[in-house]
Amino acid sequence: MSGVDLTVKIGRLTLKNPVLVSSGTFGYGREFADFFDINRLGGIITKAITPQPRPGNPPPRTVETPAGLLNAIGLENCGLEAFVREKMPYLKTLDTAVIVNVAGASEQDYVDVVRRLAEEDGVDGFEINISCPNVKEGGIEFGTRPEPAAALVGKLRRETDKTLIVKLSPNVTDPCEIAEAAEGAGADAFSLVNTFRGMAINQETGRPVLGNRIGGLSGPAIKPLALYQVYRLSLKSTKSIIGMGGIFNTADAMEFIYAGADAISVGTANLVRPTASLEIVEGLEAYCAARGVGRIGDCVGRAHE
Amino acid sequence: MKYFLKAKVRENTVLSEGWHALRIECPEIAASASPGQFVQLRAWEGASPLLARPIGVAGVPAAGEILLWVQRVGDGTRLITGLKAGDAISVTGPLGRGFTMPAAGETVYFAAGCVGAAPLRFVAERQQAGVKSIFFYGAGTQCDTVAPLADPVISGMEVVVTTDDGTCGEKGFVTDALRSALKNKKPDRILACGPMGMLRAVAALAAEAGVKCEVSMESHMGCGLGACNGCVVSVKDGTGKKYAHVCTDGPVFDSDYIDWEAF
Repeated sequence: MSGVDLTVKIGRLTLKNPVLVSSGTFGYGREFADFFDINRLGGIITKAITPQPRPGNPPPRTVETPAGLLNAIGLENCGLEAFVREKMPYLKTLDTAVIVNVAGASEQDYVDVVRRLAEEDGVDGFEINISCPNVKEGGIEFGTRPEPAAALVGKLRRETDKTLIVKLSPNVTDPCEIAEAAEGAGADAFSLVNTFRGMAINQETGRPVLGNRIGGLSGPAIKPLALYQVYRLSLKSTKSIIGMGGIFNTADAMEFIYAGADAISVGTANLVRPTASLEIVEGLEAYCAARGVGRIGDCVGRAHE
Repeated sequence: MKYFLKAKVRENTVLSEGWHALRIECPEIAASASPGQFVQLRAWEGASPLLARPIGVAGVPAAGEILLWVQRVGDGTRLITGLKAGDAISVTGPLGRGFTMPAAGETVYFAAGCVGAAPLRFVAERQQAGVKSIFFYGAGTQCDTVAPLADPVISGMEVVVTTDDGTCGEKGFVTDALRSALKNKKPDRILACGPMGMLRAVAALAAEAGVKCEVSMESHMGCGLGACNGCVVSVKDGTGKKYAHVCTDGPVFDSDYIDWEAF
C-alpha cells in the first residue's frame, strides 16, 4: 500500500476515496460488476428514482457531438417500489456508499422517495436532482430559483438524517444563489454540474435530432465550464462539493479537486470505458504517492491560493 | 459475463470498397459470444469520436478470435477500418440478446441488407445440421455483394441476391425476393438484419404470411450495458411499456414486439 489517505467527507458520509460515478451513467451498479469490483469506488450514485415508473423520452435519446454527448433520456426509471424490490437487494450487498438520485414533479414526489428510503439500510445518502434539463416536470423548477429550492430541501431535511446532496444546474444565472438557499435549508453537500442545455439539428430534415428536441451536453466538451462552476461555488460555500463534468482521467479529476471539489464523479466516461472510474481511483493514489501527498484532502481547493 | 479487453487485430482485409473484415484476438469474448450479439469497439485515444462503436459479431472463424464486418460510414468506422494487424483495439462484449437458433428440421429464411449480413452469417456458422436455410441478400449495387458472396459460410447456402440497380442478382429489394419465396414455401422462421426500412418491410411480410420473425435493431448507442437508457426503440407491450433497450432487451427482437408505426 502507498499509505496515501484517500478518504474524504461528503456531508455526513465518509467515502473511502473521492471517486463517485454519476447518476444515469452507471445504472444501479450491477451493470458494471462484470468489469471490476465496484466496492473499490468511493460510492455510486444511482439512476434517478421517481415515485412512479417513467418510460422516458421518445428516441433518439442521444447524439454524439465533438468531444461530447447530448442526451435526453427523460428520467426513465422503474419507479420507487420496483427499485426497492429489484435493485436494493444488490445495492445492500455493496461495501461502498450508495447515494440515491431522487427526482420528481412535485415536492411530494421527492418527499415520498426520501421518506421511503430514509430507513433503508444500504442507502447512505440522497442526491436531490433539481437540475434535469430534459423533462418539463423533472424538478428543474426547484433548481432555477432560490426559494423553491430552499422550500424543497427544508421538507426533505425533515425526512432524513442521511446526507442530502443537492445537484445543481449550470443552466441558471448563478448556481451559487441556489446553493446558498439550499444550504440555509439544510443541504449537506452539492454536486455540480448537471448537463448544459443543448441541441443538434439534422442536416437533411432541418429538424432537431433528439426526440425531445433539446437535451443536456456532457463529456470532455464541458469540462472547463464545469470546472469554473466548481471553483466558483467552492469559494463561496463551506459545504462539501462533488465536482463533475467531463472527467475522463486522473488529471481531470485532480483539476476538479484543486478547484475545490472534495470528491469527483465520473459520468460519460463510464459509457466510453467501463473501467474509467477504477482507473481514476488507482490514478489518484499513484498521483499522490508520486508527489508525497499523504492525504488527498490536502489538495482540495489549492487553486484558490 | 461481459468483458472489457485491450485486444489485438489479427487481420484486416478489404473485401470491397469500404467493407472490411477484421479478425480480432479476444479469447474470452470469442468463447462466449452467441449469434446476434454485438461488441463495442474503440480504437483511438482522445475524445473524438467520443463513444465506442457497436458492431455485430459476424462469427468465430478460429479459436480465440472474432470476425467483424465493418463498413466505413463515419469517423469511428473510418478509424476502425484503418487498423493494421497487430494494432490495439478496446473491445467490450459480448453484449445483448441474440437470435433464436433454428432447430434441426426447421426451415429458416435469412433476410440481410448490406453489412447487416454479418450477424446472420454468425447464425449460419453455428447452425446445426438438418436446418434448411435460404440466405436472401440485398444491397444497393454489385460492389456490396462481393463480401457476402465470397464468404465460405454464406456461399455454402442457397443464396438469393438482389440489388437496387440490378448489377448483381435480381433488380429490386430483398423484400421482393422474400415475398416471392414466401408464396412458394413458408419457413419456420425469418431472421433479419439490415436498414430500418427493410426490417419494417420484412416484419410486414412475416406478419402477412404468419411466420415467426426476429429482427436485429439498430440505435444510437451509449454504454451498450443497459446503464444509460440511451438506445431505446418503441415497442408494443400489453403492460404499457413503451420502450425497450436495444443493448440489453435486444438488439434482436420478435418483429411483432416492435412498434413499427413509431418509426
